[in-house]
Amino acid sequence: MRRVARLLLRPRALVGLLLVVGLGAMALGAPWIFPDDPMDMVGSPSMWPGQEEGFWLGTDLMGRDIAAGVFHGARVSLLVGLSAAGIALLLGTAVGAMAGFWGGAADSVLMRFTEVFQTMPPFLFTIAVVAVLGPSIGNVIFAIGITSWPAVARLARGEVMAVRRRDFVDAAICCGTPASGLLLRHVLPNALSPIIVTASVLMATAMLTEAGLSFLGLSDPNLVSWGSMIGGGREALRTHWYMAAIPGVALALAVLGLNLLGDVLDDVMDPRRGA
Amino acid sequence: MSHPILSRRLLLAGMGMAGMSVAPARAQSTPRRGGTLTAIVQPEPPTLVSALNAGAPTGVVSTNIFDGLFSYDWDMGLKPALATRWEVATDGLAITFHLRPNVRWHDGQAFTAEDVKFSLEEVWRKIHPRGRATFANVEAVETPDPLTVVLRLKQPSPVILGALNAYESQILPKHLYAGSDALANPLNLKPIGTGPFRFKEWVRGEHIILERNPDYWDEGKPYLDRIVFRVVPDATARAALLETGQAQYAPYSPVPLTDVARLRALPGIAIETRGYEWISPWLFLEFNLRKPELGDVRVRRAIAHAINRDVIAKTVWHGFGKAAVSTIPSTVTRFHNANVPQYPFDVRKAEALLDEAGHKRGADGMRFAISHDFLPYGDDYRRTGEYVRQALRRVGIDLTLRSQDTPSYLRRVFGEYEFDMSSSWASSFSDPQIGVQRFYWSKTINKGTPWTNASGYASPAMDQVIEAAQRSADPAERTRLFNEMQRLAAEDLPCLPLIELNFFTVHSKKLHDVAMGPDAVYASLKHAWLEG
Repeated sequence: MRRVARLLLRPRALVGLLLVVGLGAMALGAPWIFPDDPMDMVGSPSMWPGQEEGFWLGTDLMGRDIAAGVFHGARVSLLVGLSAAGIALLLGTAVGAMAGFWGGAADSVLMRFTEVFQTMPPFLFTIAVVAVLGPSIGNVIFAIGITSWPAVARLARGEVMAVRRRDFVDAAICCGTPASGLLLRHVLPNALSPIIVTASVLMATAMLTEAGLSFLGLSDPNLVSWGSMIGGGREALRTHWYMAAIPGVALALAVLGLNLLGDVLDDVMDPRRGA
Repeated sequence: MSHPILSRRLLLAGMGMAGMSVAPARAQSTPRRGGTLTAIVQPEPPTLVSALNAGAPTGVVSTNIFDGLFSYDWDMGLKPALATRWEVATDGLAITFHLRPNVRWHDGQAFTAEDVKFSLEEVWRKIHPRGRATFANVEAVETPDPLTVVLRLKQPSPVILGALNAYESQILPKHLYAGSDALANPLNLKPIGTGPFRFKEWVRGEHIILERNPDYWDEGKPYLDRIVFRVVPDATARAALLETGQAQYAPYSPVPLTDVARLRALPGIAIETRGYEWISPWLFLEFNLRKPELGDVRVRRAIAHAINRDVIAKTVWHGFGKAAVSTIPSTVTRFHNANVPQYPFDVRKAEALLDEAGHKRGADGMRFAISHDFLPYGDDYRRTGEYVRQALRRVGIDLTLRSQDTPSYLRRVFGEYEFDMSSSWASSFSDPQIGVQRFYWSKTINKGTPWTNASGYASPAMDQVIEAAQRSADPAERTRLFNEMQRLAAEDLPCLPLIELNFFTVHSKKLHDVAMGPDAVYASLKHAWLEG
């Protein structure tokens, strides 16, 4: 316990935790702090932060409250991050664990299958999937999830293969544990920690990808997201740079926070660190 | 993608300039010969022949290479081009064009009446999306001698006189197109015309180069030696090119609307809004009358009351538009009728109409749900959709926006009629028979043809008025009929006109005589000249 506390109290970890907690608080608090639809035009257009009362982050080209957009955008980012990372983790772990556990022909088939996905540049692949399915939030989540699992699969496979050769696994086999129990109860739990650490990075990447899609206009037009705010503000970059900069900073901080959190998790899960 | 470093440098340069006093503009009125004009075309045209592709970028380039029989003056009167004069028979059943002698195609062949006959019969009437309707009443094309063309008509068709410029009815060379599939002709990518500039080179994704035609029939013109049309897909990059003087001419609202005020303040840049009158673009909502809710005119009227057109003009389009009062824009002065039923912005009235139509608010505050497909031509169109969504949600209509690429949009709205409500822009042109009737006439319910009647609106009264206007040879009678048509359109509301759009051209102040007529954006740059 003291080891964990010491690890968490380092400045890097504190900043990361603070940012992630802040992101969560923004996402959860948005409907209470800004109860109206953030797409509503509520003020005069193109007001600098603080120029008009009530709009402390200013308004965009249509007179929408940027602060409301940033808070509601956090919800979309977090939703996409969590769900897409969830899909990628489930798919990737399943494929990787089976390949690593069985090895041989199953391994070859599953890994060749993974490579098919890996040969395509993930962002272009995501764009193609969204373009075909149509830009709605569900499709965006699906597209990001379906294109980001191969890395997880490779990682899971490696970990499972390493754990599979350990003595306690042999012992379990000697006790007559069936294959499914072996994988789920003995191998996987001991291979999970690096995968969990990846999850936070995966989330950050998913959020960035979503922002990239929105920037290109391939997001759900009924929702405010940080990417769509950056894309919309880009037109006015020369005259009203804050419209793109404010959601840009929010996105950067969120991604930074998740990456730092990944480091923290890595430290906490590795018993050799901080002892 | 933007270039942050470049932008910052430009910003600093701009700040430096702002401090300087503006030198008095040098008065220079005599055109100067020579010089290369760098222009911007956006997006890249798929082909360079307007007779085969009515797209705006094609028109911008193509009308420099080809001519029409006429061009238009500021009062929409005919100005001689390949034809020097015309006569309409007293009964309206024949139009005679007298062609200009000694005109040669860029390959040296003589231009004759046969070229006009061929273009009309084989191209405009068969391939051009609007030509089919415009020239529908032409029974025969006679060429009594090489410089005379007579159109024999089944019934008077004054609409033809509104569609004779180099963009709408472009003359193609018969000797190069006859007997082949015009759409597959390789010359569409390196065209041979009679126009002031000759095609030189096209590097895909880069530029199209045109060179001065020394044998042009309008002696002394063009003034420019060469025009380079650069393809620049990014709006902020276009603004930077214009600002630094690397490009001097860019039509069709080439820069973000938010950037115009800044550009206008720069000393070397002019913003020109003339030259689009012949097109008279309007932005509108089209309702799918096949859907139960939208088939009810009370719901359509409620939607009209719920939308504040001034907000769309001022905020969404940054003032580059004017709230529309009728389906024929006010710029089409001869036919515009402001005295039609109006639906002023009135939320309470909208709610009352929706209640009356039997759509009460449910537990979630919404009455019914519909979707809205907006034309995917850029942020301004998306923002129009966002505003409409907000306005309709306010009166309890749960509107969902759908975004997609252009082919999907066209397929969904005009190909499959699988939409509830769409927003789009269209040209009205100088004669409503070319540009406006296509959204109201039941005979233009033509599955698969973009920008025709997709609402499914079919009204015998409307059809009668439209068809009477098509037959009439009397200008006053046609005006009266089109006034009536606008009244019916406003009453039945299959389309809701939102705003009259103001497109604009950005050009260098060193480039003169750019907007020389109401169709300048689709006319050649033969009058244009660059200061030395």
